[in-house]
Order: sequence, then C-alpha cells, then structure tokens
Amino acid sequence: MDFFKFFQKDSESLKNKNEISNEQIRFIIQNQNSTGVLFDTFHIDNMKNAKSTGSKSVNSKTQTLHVNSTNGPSTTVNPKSTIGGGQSPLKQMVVNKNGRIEMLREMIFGTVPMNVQGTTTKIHYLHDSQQILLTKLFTLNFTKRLQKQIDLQNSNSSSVESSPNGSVNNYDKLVNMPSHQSSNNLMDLGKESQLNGSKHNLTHSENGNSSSSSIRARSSSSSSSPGTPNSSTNINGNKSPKGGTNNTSTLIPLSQIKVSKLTVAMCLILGPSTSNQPQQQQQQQQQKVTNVDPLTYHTPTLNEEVKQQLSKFQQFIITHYLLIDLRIKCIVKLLKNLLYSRFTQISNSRSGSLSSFTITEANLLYTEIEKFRQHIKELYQAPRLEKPIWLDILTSPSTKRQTISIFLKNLSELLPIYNTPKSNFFISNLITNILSSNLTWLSTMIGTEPNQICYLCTSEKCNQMNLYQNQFLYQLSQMYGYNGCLSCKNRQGNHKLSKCLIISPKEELNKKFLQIASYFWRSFELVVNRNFLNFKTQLYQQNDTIPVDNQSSTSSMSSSLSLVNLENDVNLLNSTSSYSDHQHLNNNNSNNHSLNIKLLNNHYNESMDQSNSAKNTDYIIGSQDLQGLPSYYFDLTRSLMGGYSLKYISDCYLLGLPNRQDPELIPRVIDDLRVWLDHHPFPQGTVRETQAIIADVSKCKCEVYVCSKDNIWNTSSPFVHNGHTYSDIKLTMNQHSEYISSILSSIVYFWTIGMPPESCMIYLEDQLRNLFNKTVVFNETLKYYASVNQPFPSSFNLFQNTTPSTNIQLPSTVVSPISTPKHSPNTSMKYQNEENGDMFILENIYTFLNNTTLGDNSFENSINNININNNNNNNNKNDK
Amino acid sequence: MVKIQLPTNNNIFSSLVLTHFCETHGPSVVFTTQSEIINEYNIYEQLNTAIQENKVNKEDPLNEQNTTINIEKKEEILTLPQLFSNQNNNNEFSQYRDNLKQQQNSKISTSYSVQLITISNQQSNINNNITPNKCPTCSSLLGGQALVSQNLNNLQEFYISTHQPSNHTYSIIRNACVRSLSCEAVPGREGPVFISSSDGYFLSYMFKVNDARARGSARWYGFLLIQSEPSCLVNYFSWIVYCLKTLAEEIKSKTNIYFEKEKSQQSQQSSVISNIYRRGTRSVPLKPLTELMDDQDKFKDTQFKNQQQQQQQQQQQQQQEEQNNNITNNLNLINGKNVEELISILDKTFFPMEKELISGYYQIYKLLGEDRLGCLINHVLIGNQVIIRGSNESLVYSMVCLLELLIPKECCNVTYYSLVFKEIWESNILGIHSQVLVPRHIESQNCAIIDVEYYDKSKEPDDIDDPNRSTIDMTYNHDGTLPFMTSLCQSILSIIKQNIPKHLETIQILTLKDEWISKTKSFYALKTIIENEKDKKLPTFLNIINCKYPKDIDILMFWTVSVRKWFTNEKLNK
Repeated sequence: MDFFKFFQKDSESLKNKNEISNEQIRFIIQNQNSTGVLFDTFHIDNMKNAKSTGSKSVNSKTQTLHVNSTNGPSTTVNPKSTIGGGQSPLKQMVVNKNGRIEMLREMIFGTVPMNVQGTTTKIHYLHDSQQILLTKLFTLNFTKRLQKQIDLQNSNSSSVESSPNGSVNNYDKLVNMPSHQSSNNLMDLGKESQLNGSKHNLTHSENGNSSSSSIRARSSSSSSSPGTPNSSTNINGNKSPKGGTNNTSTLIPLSQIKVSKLTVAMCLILGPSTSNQPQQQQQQQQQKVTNVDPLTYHTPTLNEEVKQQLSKFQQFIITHYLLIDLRIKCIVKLLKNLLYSRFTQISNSRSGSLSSFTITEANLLYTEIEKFRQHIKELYQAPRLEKPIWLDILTSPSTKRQTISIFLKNLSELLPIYNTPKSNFFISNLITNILSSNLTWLSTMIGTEPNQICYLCTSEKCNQMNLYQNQFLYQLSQMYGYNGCLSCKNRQGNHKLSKCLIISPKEELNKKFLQIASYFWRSFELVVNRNFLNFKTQLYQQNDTIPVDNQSSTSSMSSSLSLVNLENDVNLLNSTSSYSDHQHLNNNNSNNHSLNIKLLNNHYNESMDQSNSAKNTDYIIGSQDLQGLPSYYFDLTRSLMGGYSLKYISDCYLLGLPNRQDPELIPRVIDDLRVWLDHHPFPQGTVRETQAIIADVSKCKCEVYVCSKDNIWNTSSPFVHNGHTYSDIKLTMNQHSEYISSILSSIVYFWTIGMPPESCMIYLEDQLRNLFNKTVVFNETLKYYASVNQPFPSSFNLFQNTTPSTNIQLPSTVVSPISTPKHSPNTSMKYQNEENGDMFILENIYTFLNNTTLGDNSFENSINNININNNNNNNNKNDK
Repeated sequence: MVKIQLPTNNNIFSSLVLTHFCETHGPSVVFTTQSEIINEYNIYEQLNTAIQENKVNKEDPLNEQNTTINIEKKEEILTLPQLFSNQNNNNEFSQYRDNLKQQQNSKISTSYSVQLITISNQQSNINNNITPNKCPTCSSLLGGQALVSQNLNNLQEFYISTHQPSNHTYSIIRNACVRSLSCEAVPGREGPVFISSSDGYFLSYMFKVNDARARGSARWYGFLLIQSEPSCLVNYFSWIVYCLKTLAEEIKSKTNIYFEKEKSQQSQQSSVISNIYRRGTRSVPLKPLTELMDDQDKFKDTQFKNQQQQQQQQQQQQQQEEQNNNITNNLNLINGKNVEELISILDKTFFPMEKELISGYYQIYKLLGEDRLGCLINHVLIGNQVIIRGSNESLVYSMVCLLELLIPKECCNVTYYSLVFKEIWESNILGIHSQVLVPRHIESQNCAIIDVEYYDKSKEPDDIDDPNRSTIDMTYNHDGTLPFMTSLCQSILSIIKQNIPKHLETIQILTLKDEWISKTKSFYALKTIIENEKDKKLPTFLNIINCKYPKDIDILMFWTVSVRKWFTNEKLNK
C-alpha cells in the first residue's frame, strides 16, 4: 500500500543519518571598522579537531604570543607561526583583505555605511561555494549609555553592569548559567584561565593551553590590523547618511564621546566547509588552514552524494528559517550583551580594545553557538512522527479511512486501560489539556469563509485580506496554538504558545499516544519549494490526492506531469522571445521523460544564455528532489511533529520521550519556554505565556509547565527543580474533562459495534464543536446575568446531558446486553467544582472567544456559529 | 483611454519593482507593480470618497484644473472591478475561448489581459516632480497612467503597475531601491540577496544590462520583491529567484542583440565611445530600456509576469486553504431568516396598530402551561402535524416561525398561513385561518391543533386590570394529559422555564438542536449496521447518546430525513 511505503522512506532516510558537521555551521563576528574578525568558530573548531587528532602539530602551528597591555593598544607577536609554508590563518586573512574578503565585507556591511535601526538580516547565496550566508547586522549606540555610565560613576564609583535593552532581564542568568550540553574542553579551559586571574596581561607560554592561547592570538591579531589600530574611537555615526540617532549624540558634550557607534555583524555560514571529511590527514589540514577565508571561491570538490546531502541540509534550513532565526536571536542578544559590557569596561578603565574578546567572552559565545549547532543537528536528525493523523486526513483523502481506523484502533486499545478512575482518566486528561492549550482546533471548526484567517483580528482590514504573505507564520502559529492576528502589530492579546511531551519508555505505546494527540493538535501542511509551483496546480486539479503523499505512488506520474507543465511554463516565459522559444521547442523534441526538472531548467537556462555568454549561475537553494526526500524537509508541520525520540528536541511541538529521569530535561524545557516567550516570531507583546504539557504515561500524570512573566509576581510557591528555583514557572495539574472522556468512550464504542469510522469521526467533531457552542451559551448567559446584576444561577449546567464515560461499555463488555441507565445525568457534575475539567476547557475556549472577534459582537456571531451548517462537518464524506 | 478610479487604501503591502541605477538620477524606481484587494467594503469606501471629491470640486470652482478633471470624471470613471466585469461581459466569445484554452492547457494565466488606463484620482503625482519623464532611462509609464490586470483566481485581487509607487508605500520602496542598488553587494555583483530590517523585508535581484552607450558599457538594474512578512520570502527564495532570474535573463538576452549591433556600428564611430566615460555631458542620450530591447511591450510583459508570480504564490496558498476547507467545515448558515425582522416588516405594512405577537417560548409557556406546551413541542419534534389556527395572519405567522426553529430546516414543511387545509405530507407545521375546516381524519393523538386569537376585550370582566396581561388567547384542544415525553422536549422545557431574554433562549435552543443533529448523524450511521429495532446495539447506543425515553427514537427517525438530505447534497456538491 502506498500509504505505508511513504513512511518507509522516512525511516530509511533516518537510518543513514545525515550528519551535519560543525564546519557546516560556521559563525563569524566582524566589526565594521576593523579589518579582521572578532570571532570565528572555524578556528575553534579547527583547534578542537586538531587537538583530537594530535596535539603536536597544532601546538607548533598556532601558537602565537600575545601581549596585551592594560594601557595601550594590543600588540601581537607572532614569532614562528609558519610551519610547512602555511601561514597563520589570521595573517592570511589580513593579507588577503583586498581579495575576496573585501567582497564578503561588502556583502555583510554593504558598500555604503547604513544607519538602520534595529537588527538587519541578510541572506546571500554564495553560489560558487554553495553556501548560505546569513548576516545579522546591528549598530550599537553607545552615546546614551556612556552618558549614563558617567553619571553613575559620578554618583557611585562601583562599576555597573549594563544590559542592552534596559529591561529587566530575567533570563540573563540563563546565558550565564553553565551550558547543559556536554561540557566541551574549551569551556573548561576558559574557566581555568579565568581562575588564574589572567584576564588582561596574559602571556601564554609554549606549554600553555593551545586552544585558549590561539583564541587570544586570533582576536588580538585582528585588532592589530594596520588600518585602525584603535577602533574604539569610531566615528561611524558622523559618516552615516541618515540623521537618525545623531540627534542624541549632539546632546552630549563631544569630549565625553569616545565611541558613538559600533556596527557589528554576525554571520552564519551554512553549507560546505572547505573540507568535508572530519578526519583529515595532516596535509589536508594545512590546506584547510590556508583556506580560512570564508569566501573560498575555489569550489570544493563535492561528489554527488555530498551535494545531495548539502542541498537537503539547505532545504531544511530554508524551511526552518523561522525557527533558526529565533535561535540566532538568542546569540545576537548575548553578543550585544558582551559588547556592551566590554564597552563599559573600556569606558571605566579608559583603555582597552573593543576589537577583541577575552577568553571568557569567547567561551560564552562559543557555548551558545555550540548550543545552536546542537539544536540544529538534533532537529535535523529528529525522528518524525509517522502517520500524523490529522495531517494525513487532510493531505490524503484517498487513505482517509485507513488513517481514521488507525486512530480509532489506537484509541480503543488505550482507552480501557488509560481512561479509568484508576488511571486518573489519563487519556482524557491529556486530550483535555491539549484542547485547552492549543485552540487551533477551534479555528478549523468555526471558520466561515475559505481563504480567510478569520476570528484572529477585530480589524476589518486584517480579516478581509488573503494573507498569503503570512502563510508560514500562520502555519507556525497554528502549530504552537497562537490565535492572534499576524498582521497588525498593535493589537494586544493574551495568547499562549504550547507544546506537548509524552513520556513512556515503551516505544509502541508512546507512538500510539502521539498519534492520538496528533489528531487533536492541528495545523495544516504547506509544501513549498517542492518544485516550481505550477505543476502542483495541475496535480491538485487532476488528482484526488495531493503531491505530498504520492511521492511513491504516483512518482512517475508526477514527474511526467511536472515536465509537461514546466514546458508550458517555459513556453510561456519565452512567448515574447521568438528565437529562444524556437530553439527551445526544437530541443524539447528530443526530450524524453527521463529528463528531470532540473535538467530541463538547466537546459532552458543554457538556451537563454547562449547569446549572453554569461555564466550560468544557479541560485536555487535546497533540493528539488521530489521523490527522494521525506516531506518534513519541506513542511514545518511534519517536521516539528516529533516521534519517539531518545533525546529531547527543542522545537518539536509534539514529542515522545522514553523517560524523564534525565536531569537536563526539565531545565531544557524551561529554557525553550523562555526562548519562545522572548523571541517568538509573532507580533510582539501578544504572547503572555508559553506552556509545556508533560504527560507521563507510566505515572498517568499530566503536568503543565507554564512560563510567564506574570508568575514572577506570584512568588508564593515558585517552582523548584533540582535545587534551582524558577520563579517564572508555574506547575499545574488539571482534571480531566468528563465531557471529553464521554466523547472518546462513545466513539470507541461506536467503532467497535461496527459503525463506519467516518461516522465516528463525525460524531467526535460534532461533539467538539458542541463544546464551542456551549461556550457561546456560557458567554451569553454570563453576560446576561452580569447585565441584570443577578448572581449566576447555580443550577445552570451546560454539561448536564453528558453521558458519563463510565456508563459507556467498552469493547470487552460490549457483548453483554445493557440495561437501562442507572444514574441521573443531572448529577454527573457540579458547576461549582473548580477542579472540573469540563469547565477548565470551557474557560479556555471562553478566553479565546473574548480574545477574538467573537467576543465583541457576539450575538450575531454566536447565532451564526451555532447555525453552522451541520452537514459540512470536517471529515464527513459519507461513503455510502 | 479608460479612466479608472484606483483604490486609495493599500491593504497588502506586496510590490514587485524594477529599479535602475540611472546615470543622472542615481538609484531610481522604474516600474512598480502592486497588488490590491478590492472587495465590496473597499468599493463602498471608494464611492464615498469619489462622491466627496466631486462635491469638493463642485464647491471649489476656482480651481480650474479640478473642474476639468471633474468633467472628465463625469464622462467615464470606473473602478477596477467595473472595468473587468464589463470586459468579461462584453467578450463572451473570448471568454468562452479562454475557457476552452484553460481546459486544454489548464493554464489560467493565459487569459489574462493587461490594460492601459489613466488614473483619475492621483492628481498630485510625485513622479512628475522627482524624475521628469524626460529621462529615458529611469522612466517607464507616463505619470497618471497605469497598467492593470485582474487575478482570475481571486477576482477581488488586481495588479496595478505604475511608474512610481503609490504614496504610502513610496518611502519603503524608495529605501529598498536605494539600498539594493547602492548599498548591498552580492557575489559576482549579479544575483539575489534577502534583506530584512526595520525598514521592510525584500528580496532583491540585481543584474547588469549591456549598453554600448552607457558608462562602462553596462547599466545596472534590479528587481525587488517587497512583502510585509519575511518568512514567505525566505521559504520561496529559490522559486522567486528563479522567476526573477528568468525575467532578468530575458531582458539581458534581448538587450544583448542590440548591444552587438551597436558595437559593430560603434567601431566606426569612435566619437560615441569617447562619450562613454564622460558623465553628464552626453551628446547622445541613453536609450530607454524598451528600445534597447527592441521590445516596446516590455513593461506590459513585466506586469504580466509580476502578476503571474504573485498569483502563483497565492495559488499555493489557496490550495492549502482549500485543502483545509475541504476537511474543515464549509460553513453555511442554515436558514438565515430573521423572524423578528420579517414580522416587524409585516406589521408595519399591514398592521399599523401595534399588537402583541408571540415572540418567545416563554410566552407560550405562560399561555398554555407546561404540560400542553410539552405536548406541542413533542408533536413538532417527532414530525406530527401541528396546526395553528387563527384569524390574525401575523399572529399565526409569529407562532409558526417560533415552532419552526425547533427542528432542522430540512425537516420543516412549513405553511405560514393558508386558507385551505393541507395534509401532513404537504405541511407539518401549518398555519391556517380559523374558518378553515379541519378534516375528520385528523386525530388528536397524532396532531396538535392550537387556536390563537386576540383576546376579546368585550367579554373581559372589568375588574381585571393587569397591565402586563397578555392580549392573546391560546387554546390547545387537548385533555391535558401528556401522551409521551422525549428527552429533547424535556431539555427545551427546562430552557424555556428559565425565562431568559429571547436571544439567550434562542442560542440555547439552537445549541441543543445542534447537539441533537449530531446525535441523528450517528443514528443514521448506526442504521446501516443494525438489522431491526430489536437489535441489542440499539438500546446501548441510545443510552450513550442520552436518549432515555422510548419516543426519542422517533425524533431521531424523523430528523434522519434532514441528515440524509445533507449527505446527498454534499455528495452532489463534491
């Protein structure tokens, strides 16, 4: 069955794991006013590699003596750095500065100094070396700060640590905390050197730590570049074309300004390093060192396989740009912090250099970068959930019945065990938590018009547009349960982001839970870059299935279709140029179907370029390989829906883990919650809290970790884990909803007596929507009683008609005849009970309601929504 | 040339811009294509502004310019949707042909038409001030002119191409233009770069065009795709760059032919070459890009392609959305009849005197009492015939409308007011005149007959002086004993007894109805797997869906009609 083949591919590709080497993710930090680099992971990696291969060669090669006096510009003595003809990397770079490095600098900083507020992001594609260059360029304005510093110094002689944003940084300690990663040597070494008290004038002896000394050497040599010996007196601000912040500088007496602005860029180079083999011979090593220039234009000899790996990796990067950007923001923040504190030191001591980092700083940065690398690697290799139920129902209508059956089968297996009073109604509890934390299911249910993101915003403008520009953000917002408007930045809201971890050592069991959760955790699939989009249109029109799923089944068809379409496209584009059209058509005759799209493209480009004699440069990042790649390379939803993983993976919104014994798990989860709270890509100021549901199957316990800055003020019982106090974390445990429990039991019963699976799902969906209707009623009733100033009647019970799930006989006892009900449904719940799961979920929907348009003019809306046409339920194409 | 009123509020900020580093003006915008979404809401606003403008113009006769424009306006001012709707209507044949083409080719874009129009509402055009049209290199369309086209997939969307961007996007586009042409560098000087900063997000593709007359025999151009959100640009990076590159390559190849020709001529005229290195004092002016390419339709073409690109992105999006929407609900409103409104209209037209009507269930409850109301509701729910008799049409009407709400629309066979009797298969909720004879075969067991009349004040004893008393007299010809009860009726009664405001009551009843419709759906599914009513599965099922009374199954049976209709309708729709 093609359905299963599709996933086999997934697992196969997981077997031959695509390793990303550290060299493929390279960070460079550069100051605009000095020619050298401030920081380059290349060197550190080099050092580490060299150390692991053999320390002798490295020692001799990279040792540089560094003298940094406290009252003058740093100088570097580089006595015998050349061995075997190879120059010191930095030396090489400085010497080479008129060449490619200049080009790189121009790309990073621009050819003309710009004065742009905030951080600028640039993406270049270096097609010669097939690298993606991602630049974060920012200008730090010190004038204000300097003034403050001086004031502070006058009043208080103690040095003041600065923070960049002026805001209370609760998470600064996060940065300062020791890394949770496996400790790397470098870090320890850095600590050692710090302990020695050798912060400033440290001269490393020959038998010193090679790695740390080399860092110092590198950083200081950059400062010793001839052009700007003391780059701290940077007058960039006066050069800048736009006025902007110059106003502030004029307020301060000029004599006090030492450094007005500092423009720094952090570049991330993704792609092949100059050497792709981790274990190289010594000779190759030397060659690598000479090729330290990041713009090595001589193309590395990449074989096909490596190229493919690379395109896959870059495809991955492009698809996950939003997430990667989020992590880079953390590094940029740290870097800004470091630079600020550096500057403070300088202004205090009236000396020193801005253009070099101390070992501690470098280590801090490197630790953060290691974390980033680790994060990308983990995400890249993360196991993805096979057969996510909701997505598969969406994307492959042809196998819908099977998919639903899997869901119902899992549910029927788990329900008798995990939905009993003994197990605390674990599964209902889990689903209650999911439904109340990620309310995306509501928007899939109550949307009124196609092609519109409705209910997200009160603004007429936002709702009326077709937000194709926002589609990726929208997808991400659905995945994390953000329900706010994506386009208007001013709107305040109390939205939350959430993720879910399911913990069970039994892999099969865990996967079943994940699959059930994947039905309620909803998003949609956006497949891009698969190919040029035309051919997809065709597929959509002609096939019931959608290309996502016919990778294997209709691969031949899709390729032929795409061929046809691409030809159309090409013809179209050529329609005005008769000559190439002609040529092209001629050539097309010889095309057969074995040609793949890429070939055709190249061919087309060639025909275009023939008269042009220009070099045919291919700017296509990422893979075009339709058949070979699992869909998570192209789609964020599938990618972030994690499967059963042995390691915790940060950005997955759904993940299965074997156990929670790992002491690092909870801190890492909390870290992620904080990162998401601070750096989420949605409009600023709208996300109030982030939360993680941790569902422990073996203990039948559902814990919700809520991270919110509001929690800091409720200091009554801060969350403590392993001796650490996390003041912004609140741990809550919710009751299960009897209503949910009843629905689940009902559909399982329906399924076991042989009802069509689709009908079971219709029932489920109807009941879920009913939950929304109940909330509307609740909302209106509350409003009414508030308006007439009367107490809310205690008899008011929305769930009085719920059949208790205990009353629903589960499969094992289905055979026995069932007598009349023994209970009165009216007693099944009491409204006053605060621990009630029904009300919990209701209140969450209620909040959603009031956060969106629904709450505003609710009468019309609610009537409309209750009047929802019942036939068009989500899965209900009745097959009969 | 057609005059068009262009929309003034740009909703989505998405533009594709052709920029050029002009030798006399520096970085400048040559050609801008922007997307506009115009729906009814916008049109309404536009009309308003247009009317206001007209008014202003009339009041201000001193301004001659305005008045002349005003006269022109009177001749023919269209909005974009009008333009294209006219066009579509006029050319039925071409439309048909296009449709055929589409079927053959399934290329919707082939049927696009680009039109050159004059903008009527941009009186103060910036482009005239900044780059005079004299400069051949950095101008394209004349000021006040625009190319427009419509997205045929989304008829609300239009693409408008002008020389200069519209006023409110001007600074962003201008910044991006300057930045991309003079500040940013790319490897090899030609190629793409993505920039995201506080000024905006754009993807720039720079390219060089050979021109024998230009300095260094080259002129620099660039494409900018500016959007309001970065993630889309990054995710589509390859594809967008591919498109831009294709466009650029085409331009380059065309200019190259001309370049070769010029070069061969230039070898004889050395005087031209000497001019190449002299800035400002050019004896032979540079030729516009169109001439270089020997292609006057270039800009039209560019517009065409710009539009295509934006559109394809949208198609992508639409497919995703469709995909979603296939699965999620295609929500239509049931029966959006606003009872109150209808009644009030009826009232005002036929009954100028204000009379009490039946507006809520609680009113009936008060008039009939709980038992009789329950009986009435039960009859409605299980599909028995309910006859409302009365001599006052609007009174009967209001009652029928109220009862109608209780059951699914598909189950209703409503006659609001009739002068002849109708059988149950003709109408299950029947409003008739009080004089109409009800046939004898109508049994009171399977039918409910309600009489509603206005209270006869002459019979009223004088001592009754309750200001809130009802003026309606309602009688139910029934002995008062309940023949049967249903769960749904019980719930409805409990709602009615709360005596809550009408809208709240309606919401609650509709919610309840919704719940029961979903029960009916599962019952419908169950019917396919059970053999007869004695099947053991049936009582269990009824228990699960909380149907405690034996008559509940009658409701389900009756409501199945509606479910069956829905399912078949949906199948037909698909």
